[in-house]
Amino acid sequence: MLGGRATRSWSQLILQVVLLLVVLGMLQVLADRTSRRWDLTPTRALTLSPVTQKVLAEVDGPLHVTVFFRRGTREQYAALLDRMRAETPHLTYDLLDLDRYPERGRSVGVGKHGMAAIDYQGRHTVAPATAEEQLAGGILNVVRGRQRTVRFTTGHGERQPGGDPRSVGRLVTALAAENYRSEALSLIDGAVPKETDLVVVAGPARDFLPPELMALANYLKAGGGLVLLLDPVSVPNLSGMLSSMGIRLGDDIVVDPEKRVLGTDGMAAIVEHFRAGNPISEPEGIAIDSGVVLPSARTVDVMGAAVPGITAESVARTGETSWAVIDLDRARRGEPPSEASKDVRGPLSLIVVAEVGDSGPDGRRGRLVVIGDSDFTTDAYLDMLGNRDVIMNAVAWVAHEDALVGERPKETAEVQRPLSPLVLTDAQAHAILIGVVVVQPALVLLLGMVLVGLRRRRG
Amino acid sequence: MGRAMLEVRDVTKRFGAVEAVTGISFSVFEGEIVGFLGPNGAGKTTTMRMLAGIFPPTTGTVRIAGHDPRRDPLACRRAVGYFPENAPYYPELTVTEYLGFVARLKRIPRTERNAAVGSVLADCGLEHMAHRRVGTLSKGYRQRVGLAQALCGDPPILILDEPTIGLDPQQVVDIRERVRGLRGRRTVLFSSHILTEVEALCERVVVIAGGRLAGEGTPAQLGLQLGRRQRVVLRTDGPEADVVTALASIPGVMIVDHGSGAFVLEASVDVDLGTMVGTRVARGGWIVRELRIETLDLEDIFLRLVRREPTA
Amino acid sequence: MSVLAIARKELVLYFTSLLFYALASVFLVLSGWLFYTNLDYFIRFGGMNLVLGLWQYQLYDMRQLLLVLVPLLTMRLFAEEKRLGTLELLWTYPLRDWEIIAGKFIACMLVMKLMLAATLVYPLVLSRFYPVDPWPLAAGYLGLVLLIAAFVACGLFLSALTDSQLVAGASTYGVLLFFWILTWNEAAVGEGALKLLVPFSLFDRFQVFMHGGIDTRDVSYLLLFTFAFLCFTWFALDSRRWRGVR
Repeated sequence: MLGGRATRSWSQLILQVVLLLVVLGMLQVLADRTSRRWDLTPTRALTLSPVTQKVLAEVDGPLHVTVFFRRGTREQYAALLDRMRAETPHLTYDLLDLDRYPERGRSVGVGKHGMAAIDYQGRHTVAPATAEEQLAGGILNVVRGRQRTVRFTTGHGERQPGGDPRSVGRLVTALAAENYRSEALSLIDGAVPKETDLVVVAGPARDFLPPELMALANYLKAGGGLVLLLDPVSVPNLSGMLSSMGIRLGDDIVVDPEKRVLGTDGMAAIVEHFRAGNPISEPEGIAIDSGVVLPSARTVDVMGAAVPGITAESVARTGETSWAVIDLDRARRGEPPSEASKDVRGPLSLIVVAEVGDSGPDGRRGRLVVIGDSDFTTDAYLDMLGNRDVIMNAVAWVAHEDALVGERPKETAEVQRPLSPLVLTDAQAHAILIGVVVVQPALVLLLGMVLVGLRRRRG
Repeated sequence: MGRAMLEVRDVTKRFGAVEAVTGISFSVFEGEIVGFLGPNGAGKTTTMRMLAGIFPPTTGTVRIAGHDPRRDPLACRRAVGYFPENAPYYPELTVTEYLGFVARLKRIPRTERNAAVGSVLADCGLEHMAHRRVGTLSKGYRQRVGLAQALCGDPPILILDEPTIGLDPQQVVDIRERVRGLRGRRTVLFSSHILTEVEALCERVVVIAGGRLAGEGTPAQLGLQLGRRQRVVLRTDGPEADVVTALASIPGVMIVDHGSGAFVLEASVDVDLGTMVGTRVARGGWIVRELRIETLDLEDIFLRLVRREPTA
Repeated sequence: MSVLAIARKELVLYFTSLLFYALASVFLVLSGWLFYTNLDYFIRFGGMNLVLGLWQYQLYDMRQLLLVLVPLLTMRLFAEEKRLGTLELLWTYPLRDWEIIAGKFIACMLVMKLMLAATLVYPLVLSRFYPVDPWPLAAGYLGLVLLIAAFVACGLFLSALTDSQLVAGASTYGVLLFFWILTWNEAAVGEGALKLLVPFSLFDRFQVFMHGGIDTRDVSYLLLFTFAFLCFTWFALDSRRWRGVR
């Protein structure tokens, strides 16, 4: 009897709380149903890339993805898969902690964290899911059901697929994620094999022999794709072939002493200008938001007179502060470039794209990308700034993976974009450090001590 | 008597299984200063908190200046200035800041606020402490700040819970004078455990003990209500047992205490107790060392009330 | 009006205590140092995308700092008034319980926003050297403000339950960490349960803001979370009517 009212009040309170939670829960369910999302980033980072969107657009049956994550990273995969599911209704997914369900991982061929098992119309593949493009590549794999073949030439001291930071092992992995199988190619044996989607020449240390170049040229004219990554090494035969196509390979090295990006030796060339709408930096109008660093580059430019049957254009240039040094030894000794030594002041062209020959039997023109550097594709530099995007876009373009057909307007003006990396001198960095860690907090504390002290003194 | 400003009707307050106040009823009328007496734990503070609007009674009704706190809590609170036990304060605020804050909460319009604060500062003798932080003030001044906060906004009713507790005698006199100065202008319910100050200040007294109403009225009425008693203190050399027998034979007398030759007797005032005691002692042939006749005052009544001794 | 009076008093108490300035400067030292290290990381590895290379880490770090900071500022709000006995005094003034809660909430939010505003120095400094796009950052700060509101409401509630500041602060840490680790330890809960729990995790709700986006779902969750805890605070104060004071 005594506690009667109190008990009633406790039950009343519980009822109030439950009622409140139910109402708020329903409001949240309503909010979930009618959700809207605004992406305020300039790069639409919260939106799926057009490549992924295109891949997902090809899905027209049930697609199931099972990601095996490492504890603590679940949210990252859930966010990505949610975005993908918003794009295609066919996608269903499971997120499993690999350490908790290792046998389920093994049963679908996953033994590593961050890998996804993908099933689509009876086809099954395993792909990394940490990055959007990797997962999209895995999906592309099961959707297309056919791998593309990229062949790396050998026999001229080209960069090897793995082993040390100077190799291109990570590039090969990245290509695999986008459904490319990498193979070695020896041109001594003659023509480029038929099932070749593109050929990559990754930094030869020695020149090619004329028959080898012949094979490459024929492959290109038949609608093939070729990516030439050419360091400042004397390669007269290759140079000759290119000039026959209206492309000039400079015998020089590009330096930019005033723009020194961390992790380079001051001889790196930084691409600051891209020709708008080119397939390398802006596939489908989506720009690479970061610059590109070519650690030791030579100039590659188009020649004044166009060669019939070939459309070539320069798509990337350095800034005003760069120089092309003719004498490689002088550049390596660190001597300042000058006009007196016949060095050429920037902007300098570094990347040329070209379409070659008439439309082949399958209606395609051969595509060629020449970049005056190969270091940027190596493991040491691949993830610096926008390097990975440039090489991947180049591969996609020459392999005709893009949907863009027809000529691009030639007269597009070059646009300056804020593409230079953030560079701070030591003094500036120290000023920022002192300012935000010492000065600002000290001012707040001082203000407080003065205000509180004055008040205390008054009584 | 004017209209009832505070009305308590059959009020019971329970905290869980504990009943702090049981079925008490009393009223305080306009312009009165009423003393509220009771030992610690009697339910004084609980009753005052209900009147101040901190929480409602479990059963029964309370009316503040005619308003029902359940229906119109804000009107009730506007009518009351409350001085809680121990005068809580914000140590870091200055006196003016604190009273300004109170004035805002009591919804004194901006234009009148400074004047209102100034007037309570003057009323409580705090002008020269206006810019001191409350935490640095002496206990006496802090009680004055507590009083000032209650006075702020000119509420018709003041409920003061032990405003003189823990003060030195000079400070007690000071606070008492300030309350006395409110006589006639305000209705005051004043709780205390010091009987002399209640007798000196209050027209009426309400006594509670053990959560129940133990007595109500003017000090004189209370005496009557209890039956006015007189007390005789006797010291004699006679043998204790014989003296007790002799005294016990007086009709209507009660021996309250005795030992080592001293005896305390009580009877109602209409008995000539002194003469009768003197006669009995003389009759026994003993010598009277002391014979003192006392009339019970409020303090004694209070003590009896709260001890629930049988009266009369 | 009463709300403003309460808020004003709380602000005076905040701004006249050395504790506030000490906490603010410790917060600024830590977030400044984190900014510097994040900036260093951005220059070395971050590419040129400020949102993904710098701001997301900075916002993430500031979120952790605020988790530590907010309970230290909310713990006194009710607990101190209860200990001093001034809360029962407030109850005798002509104002409603919700006005007390709203005043304290507004004051604490204002103080937190001020501290947060001090960190806008970082993008300002950076904009001298590099173009800073304000919009994704605005989304991030909106997220922080909403998260702080949730933290403050939670701290306010727990402060109203006890007269010990220590207990109030410690239990606020407890509850906030609980909402964090709800999904943090994925291994401990089954996959089915996790799907159920994820929507309740306070911290997953910050993900989109951190990346420069605004999702109405997250906004509504954080607002409702805040509202729920303000209501709980009101229940806690109101329960004195039948539970007794203290």
